[in-house]
Amino acid sequence: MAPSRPKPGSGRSRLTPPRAEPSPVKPERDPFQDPIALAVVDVVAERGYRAATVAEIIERAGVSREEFDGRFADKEDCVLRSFDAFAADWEWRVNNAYSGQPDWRSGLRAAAYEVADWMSANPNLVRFGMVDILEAENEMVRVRREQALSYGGKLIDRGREAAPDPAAVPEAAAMMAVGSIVQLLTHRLQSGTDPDPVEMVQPMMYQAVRPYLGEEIAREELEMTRPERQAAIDGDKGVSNDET
Amino acid sequence: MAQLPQSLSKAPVGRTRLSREALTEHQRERLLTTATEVFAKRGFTATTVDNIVAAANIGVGSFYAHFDGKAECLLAVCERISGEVHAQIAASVPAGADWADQALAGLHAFLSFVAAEPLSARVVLIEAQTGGPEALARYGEVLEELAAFLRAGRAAAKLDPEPPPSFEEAAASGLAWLLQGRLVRGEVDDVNSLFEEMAEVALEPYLGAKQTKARIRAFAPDAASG
Repeated sequence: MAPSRPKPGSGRSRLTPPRAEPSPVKPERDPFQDPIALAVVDVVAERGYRAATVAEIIERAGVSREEFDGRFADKEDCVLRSFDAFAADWEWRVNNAYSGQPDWRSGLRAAAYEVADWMSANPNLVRFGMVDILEAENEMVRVRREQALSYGGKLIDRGREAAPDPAAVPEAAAMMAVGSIVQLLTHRLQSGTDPDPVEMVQPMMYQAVRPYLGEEIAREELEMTRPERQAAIDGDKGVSNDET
Repeated sequence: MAQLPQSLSKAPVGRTRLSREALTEHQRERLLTTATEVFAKRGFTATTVDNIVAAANIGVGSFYAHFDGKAECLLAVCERISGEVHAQIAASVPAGADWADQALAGLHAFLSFVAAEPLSARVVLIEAQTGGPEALARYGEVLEELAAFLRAGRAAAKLDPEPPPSFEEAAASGLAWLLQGRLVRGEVDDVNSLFEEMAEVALEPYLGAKQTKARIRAFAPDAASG
């Protein structure tokens, strides 16, 4: 028997406006302007996590050993802090994309495309954050990776407020959706298959929406196009999209 | 012809060979057990062959008599763990169980394995991902095996319309992620508490929320394992 999940009444009218999680703030130090953060990503991508050395990182960054030592205890510390800085930037961008839309579903879709664009523009960074740092000796790096990648789960779980029957939504629905995305991307990167993050948005949106709004509405996501982008990710709210 | 007393007779050739084989097998098993622990505690990339032989208290030469290097050793470790998991799952599924009960019994057996053998679980679910192409491929096969099982739920539930083709691949990945999170955070003592959550997300797409909850409530693992 096919699962039946009640449809949310007239549909979109019951969708609550998206509410941002405790808002991520714009990182004080933009990691994309930080030569050391950029260098560690590139050196690790080129040489591999284990082979990358502090000497190579400071040479690539064009900074002195003193400057490096003044900011970081060692390579692992540099990796952890750089990862945190990029993760904070990522969370801030995703949250902005989400908040600029009128409802949960379109907010999630906008966030998904923001993530996909960010990933397409920064392939070394994606590889660094998803694959390379799995080799870190410091277990805290893995813990932070898991926390950062789980951030999207908080936005996905806002779907509970939009669900016609919140009690029917499995507890682990959001983490399951995030895990699907992270694991698929990680595995494809590790297997040498270059994933196209933008192509993955529609099936992943189906996966994320389905537990909350049911099969029929989730299926619409397989056809949904990119929402109109905001003019800038600075809180500009003047956005319309295909659902407004 | 009179026979010599047994204590003075030469042992049959086959027997000696068997004994040597048994010794070799015993040494290999000891290596695999030790390597599991070392890989789990140090991480695959930080582990050296020296770490393994020191922990197993054998010579480097003996290690290389069994494996080409640590990547091949990891692969053998993964194969052994995978065999144990399969055996436990097979033993847990009652004869004649339908798809949903197979899923519940299998999930319960797997989580029990993770709770009892957290180091082994860590090796196959986390370290295998950094263990080189073959270990990674093996990890991918495990996920595909899980996805194939879930896919069988389509026919069992007669889903119409069916989910997109990538649905089960993504679902299997999501289930693995839920467990990896626990392992990374070291929260494995109560990993059995994940049973309901994982069963819910695995079965709900095929059975619907109401029937899934009813099946989970009715599931009795002791009866399943016979």
